[in-house]
Amino acid sequence: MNEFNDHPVKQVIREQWCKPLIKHLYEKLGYKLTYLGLPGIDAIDILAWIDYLNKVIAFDIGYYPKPYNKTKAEENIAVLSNILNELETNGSIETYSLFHGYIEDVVLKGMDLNRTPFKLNEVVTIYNLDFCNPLTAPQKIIDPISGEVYSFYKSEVIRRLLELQRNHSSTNKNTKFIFHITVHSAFWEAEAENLFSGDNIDLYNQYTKSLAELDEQEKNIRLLRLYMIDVIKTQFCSNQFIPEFLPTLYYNGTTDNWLLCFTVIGTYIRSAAGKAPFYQSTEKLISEKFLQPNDINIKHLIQNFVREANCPKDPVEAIQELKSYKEIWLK
Amino acid sequence: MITLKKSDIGGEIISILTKGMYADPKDALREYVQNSVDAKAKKIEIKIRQNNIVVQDNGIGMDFTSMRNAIRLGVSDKNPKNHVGFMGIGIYSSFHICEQLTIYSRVKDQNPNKISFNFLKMREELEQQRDTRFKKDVKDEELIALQKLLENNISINNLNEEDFLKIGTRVELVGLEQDFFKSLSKFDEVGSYLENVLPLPFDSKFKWGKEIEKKIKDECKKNKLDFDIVNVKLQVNEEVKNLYKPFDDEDFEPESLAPKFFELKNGNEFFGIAWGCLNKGNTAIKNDVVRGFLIKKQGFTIGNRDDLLLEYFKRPIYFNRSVGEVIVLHSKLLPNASRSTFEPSPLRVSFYECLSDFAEAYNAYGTKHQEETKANKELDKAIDFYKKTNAQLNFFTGDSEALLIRLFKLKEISKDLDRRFNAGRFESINRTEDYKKVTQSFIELATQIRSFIEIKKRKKSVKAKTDEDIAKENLSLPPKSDTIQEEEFKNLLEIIKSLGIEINNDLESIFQLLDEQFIQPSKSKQDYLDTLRKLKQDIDELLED
Repeated sequence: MNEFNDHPVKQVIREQWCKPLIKHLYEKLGYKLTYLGLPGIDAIDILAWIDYLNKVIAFDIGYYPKPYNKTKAEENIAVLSNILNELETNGSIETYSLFHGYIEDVVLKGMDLNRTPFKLNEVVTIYNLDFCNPLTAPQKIIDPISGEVYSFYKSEVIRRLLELQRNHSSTNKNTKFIFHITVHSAFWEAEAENLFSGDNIDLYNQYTKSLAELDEQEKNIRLLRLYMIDVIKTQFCSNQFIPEFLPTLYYNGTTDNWLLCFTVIGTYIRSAAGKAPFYQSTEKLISEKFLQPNDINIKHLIQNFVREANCPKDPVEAIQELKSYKEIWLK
Repeated sequence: MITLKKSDIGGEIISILTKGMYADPKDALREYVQNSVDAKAKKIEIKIRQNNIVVQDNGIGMDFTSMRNAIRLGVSDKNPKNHVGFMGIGIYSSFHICEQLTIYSRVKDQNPNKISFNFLKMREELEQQRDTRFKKDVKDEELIALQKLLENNISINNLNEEDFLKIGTRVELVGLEQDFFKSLSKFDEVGSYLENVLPLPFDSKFKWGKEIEKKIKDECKKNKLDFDIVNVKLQVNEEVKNLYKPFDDEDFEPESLAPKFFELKNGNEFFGIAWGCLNKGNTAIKNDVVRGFLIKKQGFTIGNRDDLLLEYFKRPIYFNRSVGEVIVLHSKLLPNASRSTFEPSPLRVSFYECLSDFAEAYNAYGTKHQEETKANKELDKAIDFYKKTNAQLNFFTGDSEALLIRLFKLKEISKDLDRRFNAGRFESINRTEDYKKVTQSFIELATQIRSFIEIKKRKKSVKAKTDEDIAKENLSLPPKSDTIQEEEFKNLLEIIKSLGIEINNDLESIFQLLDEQFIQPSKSKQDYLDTLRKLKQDIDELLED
């Protein structure tokens, strides 16, 4: 079983944070949604949001503990496959597709462990990415065509997925979607060497100073938030999607890892420059309080040694405050 | 009279039959689509994903009794006149492909039912029996009887309404064998197979599709037969495509002729119709997926392009220059279970005679088109020759030898045009008129040349024509026909390939060698190209004879 799926905090996030947003998107768009992500072998997310979904594009390695066990993995994949199949049989979803492997591998290599080509056939309306797997980064992959070996950071997956989304969006001008992504400390450590160079260096230095009173973990999650906002913003804008961030969730996973969950609202915009604008201010985003889900509900995280502003705890209220929502979604 | 025991029909029969009949795992997809078509489905989805395949239709579905009857082996209550599948074995076509076959079905106003076949367990039981037989003699009562094998491994259940909401049938093949999955997960391969074998609509990429479909529909109506077309969507994980018949205007060079229809009749027996679209450019269709003719019965393909029909054409030339189908409408002419040919019968013999007549008629049609194309080209060349000679005449007025050469050439071309005209090669009214105009102009030009020769003999000066006169005369000739320009072949190999003859790498090298050693030497580029052109003409004529 996926170590992150059966956690009570996960249930609160699933039911109190993601579900209202997904329901809202479904109501706004007027049709059921296409999900892409890692539902885990029990497909708990899918089952929770099933009323609003039409299609599921699922990735799963099938077996998390090391070493990788092919037989066990295939058994687990079959469990997920059976659940999705049953949902299709009883008409809950129209169709699904299932890729066997780590999402990073499948997306960047263009094929899964069974050598099934990875392609996207349509616009995805719900992304639910989870970079909490034990893969370290940068990863080495071998291009199946050229045989060349490449190193990549996990954030490359975001770029590739958004490129595919943009390709479909050029024919579907009304692309609007929700992008959830969860990362943990391993992600931070692996990608850290790539952090804050060039344009960001001043902001990074200034921000680091303002966090001086905090302990190492509290400091690092805030730097990770800044890093992720920067990565996501860059990838969204360069693919002609306006990114707007909802408050960031911060919580402990089952194995005492601290986790950050970002929710981004994406809106396609045609622009002559080939780049979407960024309506929010990074400085403002990083000076907001984190939201902290517990076993019952979601609260603001109060941190005494740093001044952080309040933010909406209700995701629908949060989305309704966004500029792209007011100016594009409501039109 | 003899009394049989249960063990007289062993379980092994199911393995033997299905292995022999469905050699290609894709055949199983065809079998399940056949059942959908028989259930009057108009929309079918085929989904191939990790670990499973689904064929889901919107047909009338099966009630509990029909589902119970569907498990019978070699027994079918379907009428061969109206149904594609009637052998009572197709349901087992995935016996060697998957671990479990599950069928959900629902008819209007009833709850759905589900039937499950545990093929993995059946195979394991049979395998175990085989192992035992290697070790010792097996007694009768130890053998697995077919009845027992099926009873132990098939279950049928009533479902609640919400378990399967839609009316229709869903076939699930779960636990695919890895090798089969690899083959079945290749989108292009599966798509191409299905596009060739299923009763699909024409793609809008083929401009004659509607006309052909209407003709087939009308013939079916006349013969009180159903004409079923299904819309099939194929999904292999994230690749999705609606399937159509594989014909495409782009397969023709430069384009196809309008479809030619043939009635397939032998005495009083009406077998159906055939249609063919010939490549206007008189070269083979390069895409071997569509090249030639396919035989279809109730929309499903019988045999393949090269096996069943090609031999009736005797020479592949026009077969390879065409795409087409032979639509069998005779209800008593039945395909065999594997759909590789028709069941032996006197009717089949009569049908094959019919195919032979059709092939002969099609070859004649192809020859006629080729001859007309050639005649048009010759006429165009004659027009060019006239214009050029007329324009240059002023330069030759003092040169008797040059005048004589042109006069001789005029006569030669004129003779060739007359021969083609008399053989009926200028069929259209316009081209006949063109021929007459050209002939008249030739006569006038010849008279003029002769008069110049006469004047020269009498050593008198010749009055030159004005440019205005030449332009007027040249413009009075018809414009060139819309006949396609002759294809320029750059080497011998291109000519051989244009004939649609399959050649391997060794033969390719031999042709290249022959070209280098015997055709290319000591020739200018233009001479070489002319030689190739002539060679192509000779080969075409040779193949026609």
